[in-house]
Amino acid sequence: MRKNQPLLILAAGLVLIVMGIVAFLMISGNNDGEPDVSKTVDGNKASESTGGTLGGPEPVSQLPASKYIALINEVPGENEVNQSDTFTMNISTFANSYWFTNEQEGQELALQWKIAGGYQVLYQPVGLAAQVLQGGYYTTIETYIFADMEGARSAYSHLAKKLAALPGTEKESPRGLANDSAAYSFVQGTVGVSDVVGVFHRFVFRRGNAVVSVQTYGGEPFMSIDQAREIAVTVDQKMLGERTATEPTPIPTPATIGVSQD
Amino acid sequence: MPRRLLLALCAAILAIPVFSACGDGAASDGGDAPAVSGTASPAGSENPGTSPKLDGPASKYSVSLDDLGANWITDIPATYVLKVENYAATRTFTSADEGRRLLNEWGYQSGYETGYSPEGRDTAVLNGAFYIHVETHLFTGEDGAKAAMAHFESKIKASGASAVNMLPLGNQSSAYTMTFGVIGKSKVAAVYHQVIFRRGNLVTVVLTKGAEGFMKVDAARELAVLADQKALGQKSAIEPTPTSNYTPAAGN
Repeated sequence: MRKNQPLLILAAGLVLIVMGIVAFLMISGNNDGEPDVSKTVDGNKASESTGGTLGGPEPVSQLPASKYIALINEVPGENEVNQSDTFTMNISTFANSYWFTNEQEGQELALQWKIAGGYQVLYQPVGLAAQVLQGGYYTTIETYIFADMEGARSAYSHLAKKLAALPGTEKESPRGLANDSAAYSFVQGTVGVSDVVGVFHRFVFRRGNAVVSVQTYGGEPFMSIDQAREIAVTVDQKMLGERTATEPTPIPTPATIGVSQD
Repeated sequence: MPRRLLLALCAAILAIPVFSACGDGAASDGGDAPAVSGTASPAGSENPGTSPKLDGPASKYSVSLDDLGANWITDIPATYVLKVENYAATRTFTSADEGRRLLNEWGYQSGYETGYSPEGRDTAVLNGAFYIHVETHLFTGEDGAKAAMAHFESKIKASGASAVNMLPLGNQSSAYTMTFGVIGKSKVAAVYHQVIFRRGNLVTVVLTKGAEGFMKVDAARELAVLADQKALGQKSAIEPTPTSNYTPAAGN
């Protein structure tokens, strides 16, 4: 054994050197081609939304409903208005909306609740789905004004039940807001042709005679209910008179037809 | 002695994970090829196989609008037939003289360039679509094609593009990517991928431009596969309808 010692040391040393060279070549070979992966989605969710007034007064909001909407400069990110999905609501558009199973039900309930007017705006990231992959999101804000509190209460209750009953919808539990509020999330597919999961969050609330819905759509790694709730707080502050309620620049839309005009 | 041996063995054992990790790239030697292209082999791998001597025109080995399906628009100003006279003056070469010299050395037969835009253009690109540009170059022989491919690769590398892994294609292939500029008026970065391959006396370069977050080399490679199938006779190679007599401006 003693006789073979130098040979063994030599063999072990040679194995070590060969291993080292091969390992080096492998590592440097791998560095030749950078991994072809687009910018990694590095989720960075918004901080918890806890502001706003829970409970509080039940003011009577006046038309137009558009003046309570969060303006484009009040929504985070670099956005633009999607004009085709931004419009003033009338009974017809309201009765045909996702709120109801059919137009007849919509017409009946709209009259029963005495809707006075509504407004919807869609803000989209300037970079569309590609910007969603970097943390941007779509925001749809809807405001509905009813002739009285009772109509708004019934409408809110109907909407909250309708949303909760949608298959796949998860109930979220952020801090409450205004006189009534509820929050939901819904995971659906991926963002564009990417592998990033897309998620909708919706925060609905009632303040006096108004019902508001704020929905966001973004990449799951970035999104929580907090973005939608923060925007809802802005709308609620306008309804409470804590923030200036400015009517946005009009976009040509059908005229509002309130119940008194119908 | 036992301690020294142990140290040597430890070093050998420690090296094993390095091999395992790198084993993913073994598809080029005939191992199990991954289902999805673009991730398994080092850039520039050689894949010897059928090496046909192809006849012109080069345009028939390009990617056609029919290959892409609906929702694409031909970029007519970027579609033209190349010959030594008009190709030599482009920025593929440092000067028209150099271009003529090299193209003649390589036995340049003819070439064809074309591009396709998605319907919806930048808006579509921001939703995951991409622009396409295809160059097809035919040479009298394989040696000229090899030399041209080496030149094209050096030009791509000199542009600042980085090599990316891609499942080999043709007799020789490599792939590159570069992020440059933005898409439309957004702040979303534009990502370019280039796949270059040689099949016999044909060299094809496929470029895609899309939005960061959506793009991988796979899209360019899939288009390059279509071109290769035409070169191999596995897919009908039809000369496209001529669109213009446009001559690329010098320096383009």
